Amino acid sequence: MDTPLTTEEAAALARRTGLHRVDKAGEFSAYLRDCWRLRHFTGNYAISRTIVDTVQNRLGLFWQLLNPLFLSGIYYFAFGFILGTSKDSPDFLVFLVSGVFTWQLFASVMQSGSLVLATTKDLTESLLFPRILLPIAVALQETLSALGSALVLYPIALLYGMRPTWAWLLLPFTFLLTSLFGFGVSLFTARWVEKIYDLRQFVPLILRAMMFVSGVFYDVTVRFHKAPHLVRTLANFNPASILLKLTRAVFIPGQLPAPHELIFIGVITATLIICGTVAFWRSERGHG
Amino acid sequence: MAEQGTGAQASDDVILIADHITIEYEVLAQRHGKSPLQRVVSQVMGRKQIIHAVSDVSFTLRRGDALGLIGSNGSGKSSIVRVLAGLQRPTRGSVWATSTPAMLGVSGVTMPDLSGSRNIRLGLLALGLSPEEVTEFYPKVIEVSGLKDSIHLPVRTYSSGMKARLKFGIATARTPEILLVDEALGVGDSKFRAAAEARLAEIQRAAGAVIQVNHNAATIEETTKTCIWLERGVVRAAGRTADVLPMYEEYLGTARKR
Repeated sequence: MDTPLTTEEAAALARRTGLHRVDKAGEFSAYLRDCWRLRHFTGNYAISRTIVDTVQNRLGLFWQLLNPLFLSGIYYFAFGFILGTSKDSPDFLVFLVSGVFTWQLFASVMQSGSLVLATTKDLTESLLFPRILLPIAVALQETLSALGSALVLYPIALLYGMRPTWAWLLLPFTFLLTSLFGFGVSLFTARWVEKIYDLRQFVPLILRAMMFVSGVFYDVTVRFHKAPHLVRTLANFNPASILLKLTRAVFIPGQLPAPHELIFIGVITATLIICGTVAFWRSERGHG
Repeated sequence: MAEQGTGAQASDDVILIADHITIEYEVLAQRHGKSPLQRVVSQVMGRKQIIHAVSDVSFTLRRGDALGLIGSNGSGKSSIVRVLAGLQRPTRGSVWATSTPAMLGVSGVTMPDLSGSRNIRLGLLALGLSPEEVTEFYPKVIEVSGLKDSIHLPVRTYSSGMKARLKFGIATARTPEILLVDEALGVGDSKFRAAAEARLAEIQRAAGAVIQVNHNAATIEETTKTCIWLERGVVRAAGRTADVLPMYEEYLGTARKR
């Protein structure tokens, strides 16, 4: 047993022998390299979660399809039929169904991503890996299953009497952008929910509130037309409603968001993901 | 300077430095009020209380060392191990090492609804193995864990002994440079224990250094040459295992009498 070193001696000895600090997160670039090195774990974890979900439900992934279709039916009746939002768009059925699928994707990525750190403590407390891989895996899982079920939008549009256009091929990309935005938001909410577990109760509430103001079952530009300028601007710059418009534009060209709205959604998504990743890196190993 | 020369010679073997580690936890003091309202108020308004889990622990580990950490329950052993493994940040102090020490014990991914086989793959990937390495090490994990017959059943159907064997197999698949053994062999039947001990001995021969954490003096005596005795987070004695253990046992004896 050696006589204890002073902190200065220990640091000098460590530098001389090429040791590195274990108790501190490394450089940001090393963090990103670690994430890349463990990409197979991320993919495997996403698949494992999908299997668990599928095993628990008899109809498995089929629910990914049934759930939005069923919701679309309810919304069509409640909003389109009773409250008369169906006159917002000449193609209201396609308008509604594509909106619901997009919203469900965003909501599931954000919801599962927000809870993932708080619900996988046994994992994060026993293994050392960049914890950002967990929300990444969740986003991957939700996106892949949503993309599969979103294919049903094509037969629906065909049955409705629409003719296929080249724009239809862009559907996976609008879904990808939606998912990236949800992922960017979850990078922040996940750490908050982990710290203050009560916040998980707010996630579904916030999502519900967002759903009602984002125009899932009505057209924001139509309904906020007469609203005060500030309200109208806020409604138009709501990232969720831009994403809804973008998916709808695949089938309904008139829905295409304005260029400045597209730039806005791109910038805000990139900012959320970059800042969120840096925040994750900074918070790393502060837990437990 | 000749003295510095010999210092550098010896320091080449240094593999881990724990420098003045102090670990404190901040918890809300829960006072039990009479009415539910009082309890809620004390929960929210409760004073924060600091628990000193570990106070100022330092040691240096060299290649080939086997260090024991001994102490009764709640002495701060596991907190130190978590800090050494990089899973937790110390309140003060620092840890330097050639590579992040691997923790053997409770670690290992388990998704109860998935088969043992899927858990092995996921666990090995989480440890940073490449898919090729996973394929390479997979048979070894099955062999060490002895779960050949039930590897395709969901882990939730396993007994606690089987789960421990699965985790042990995953954690020891690849030989780490610095190994932390936190009372790993507490569970399992005698047959598994023999296999596990053989695998551990194999790892200890190959690994740079091993830190054994246990409250059992016999285990520490068998497996380590030097050891640190902790009590309530404070180092009570450190040095040769043969010198430290009698003090620990004497302390336990008097503690039992009281």
